[in-house]
Amino acid sequence: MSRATSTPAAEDCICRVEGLTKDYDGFRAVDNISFCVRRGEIFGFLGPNGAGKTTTIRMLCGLTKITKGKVIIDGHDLRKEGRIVKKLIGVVPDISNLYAELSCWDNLIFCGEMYGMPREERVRRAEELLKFFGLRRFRDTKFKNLSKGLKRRLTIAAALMHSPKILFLDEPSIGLDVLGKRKIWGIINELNRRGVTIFLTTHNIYEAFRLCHRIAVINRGKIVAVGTPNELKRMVAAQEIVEVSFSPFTPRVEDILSIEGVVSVKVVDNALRLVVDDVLTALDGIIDYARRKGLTISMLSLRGADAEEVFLSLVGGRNA
Amino acid sequence: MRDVLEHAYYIAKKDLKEYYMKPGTISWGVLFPITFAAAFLFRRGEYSVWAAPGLIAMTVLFSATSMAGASIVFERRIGSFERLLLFPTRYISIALGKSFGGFLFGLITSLSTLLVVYVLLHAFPLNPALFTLSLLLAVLQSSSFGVLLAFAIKDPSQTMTVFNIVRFPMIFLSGVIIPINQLPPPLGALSYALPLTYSTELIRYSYTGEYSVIPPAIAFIAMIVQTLAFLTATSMLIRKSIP
Ligand SMILES: Nc1ncnc2c1ncn2[C@@H]1O[C@H](COP(=O)(O)OP(=O)(O)OP(=O)(O)O)[C@@H](O)[C@H]1O
Ligand SMILES: [Mg+2]
Repeated sequence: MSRATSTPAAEDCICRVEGLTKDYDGFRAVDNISFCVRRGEIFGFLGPNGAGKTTTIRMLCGLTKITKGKVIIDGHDLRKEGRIVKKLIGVVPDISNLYAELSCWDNLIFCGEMYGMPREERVRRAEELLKFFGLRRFRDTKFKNLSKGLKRRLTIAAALMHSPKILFLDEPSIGLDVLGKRKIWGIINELNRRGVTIFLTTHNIYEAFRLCHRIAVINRGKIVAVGTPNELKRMVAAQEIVEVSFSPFTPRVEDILSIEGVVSVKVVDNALRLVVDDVLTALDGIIDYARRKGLTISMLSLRGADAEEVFLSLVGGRNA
Repeated sequence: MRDVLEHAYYIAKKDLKEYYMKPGTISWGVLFPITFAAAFLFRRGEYSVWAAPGLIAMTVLFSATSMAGASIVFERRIGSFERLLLFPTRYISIALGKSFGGFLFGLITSLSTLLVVYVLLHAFPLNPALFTLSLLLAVLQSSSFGVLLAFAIKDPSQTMTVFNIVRFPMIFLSGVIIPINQLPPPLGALSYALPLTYSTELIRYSYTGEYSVIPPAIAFIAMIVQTLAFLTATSMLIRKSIP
């Protein structure tokens, strides 16, 4: 825990964010967040809908104005050296928004042109990317005629035309089927192996835990935890999962939540799944509660937390 | 500066591929002025040479603004406009690039209008060099005006309505049909505020050797100033549009 939240040395950070805040007339969408993306890692921003992930990524690439705070990318201050920073970053928005009427090839070449790449380099890079993304067959296909998964791939390819040092991906696999997701994950891993630092946002816990070296969990505009997947699990390691069912009836969630040691409660079929931070106290409380209500405990099991539960307890979910 | 022009050129080239070089768009750009010209030039039972320059200026205004506007509105609606903001480019390049796209399209339509005028009236510009210059300037002025208007409109579905509310009065107030010096005073004063007035006056001068109230040199300078003002205002609007 201490290692996860301590700030790494500034020179390790390809993207350093300090006190970043975004207000939309009176509403604080991102609230004073600070973090560091280390060179060479896959850094994930995990949070539920409306947490402020897109707003954060948009601020990092200059699509949304920064209300307060500082963004340093590879040593350059985004607010002072915007155009230098834009050359260093690649951005994949949450929608695949390339030019519908242009072919895959023309879309890539246009990006190369706008980054000031010389002609031969544009052509070489576009060919290389089409190959890498398995899109060579679609070279002359219009973007609008690609399937969703292929659109996503080309949108990522377009963001890589100028060989950015860091790639920002907003919900890279959203809306794709299982195979599509796998393909995108494979691509992200391979890009990372080839030296591209990745910053991605997701609301998909499985995706974050599987893909990222480090994860920041964000909720309501605030970072509530940062760490490797293992560290995040350990952070709640004191917490365990208790599954319990009562008969003849299942008690109300609020009653169980009021038991000391219980962090969150979720109804699963006719059992209750509790995250508890102090197993012994909680078990005592549960048994005591059952006795007072005249209930018998028909099933009780104990185990360590899995990703989803870690996430829920971090974002304070008593999500039923 | 070189960067600005280069980026503008790439954006325009992309827009041409994406929107303008479509058979539908091109034939509209050619047919619209032909039918328009035939109907418009036939006044009081005869073809009017006086009306020809106004017709050309007006076709330029309508085609260049429409096309420049359409590409922006479309891109803003589907969210691809923001891609341009990700590139290491200046807002003025985007304003200029979008204007160049409309510019080329406006040029095609104005040339086909010119052809119709020639076929119907056998009239040719008195001063071809000045005419060419005025035409190019008029097209750039119109397309940058269309780009500005398109960015100023908050609700994209209102674009054509707003465009027409702005453009149609100009036909009557800019000396296209009625000479400006024959307008009642308050309307005459209003005509000085309309970009089409200057392009009509300048094109008419180069075509027939006459103008109504605005001397050619003034019209020329005014059009340059307006074009630059439209481009600058557009880049300010783009900056402001970032949430
Ligand atoms: N342009 C805007 N104006 C006002 N409020 C906004 C704007 N954009 C986002 N918000 C609000 O800011 C909050 C954070 O939104 P954001 O899109 O960053 O969330 P997110 O984490 O990306 O969620 P999602 O999973 O839905 O993509 C939301 O409450 C949203 O309604
Ligand atoms: Mg989002």
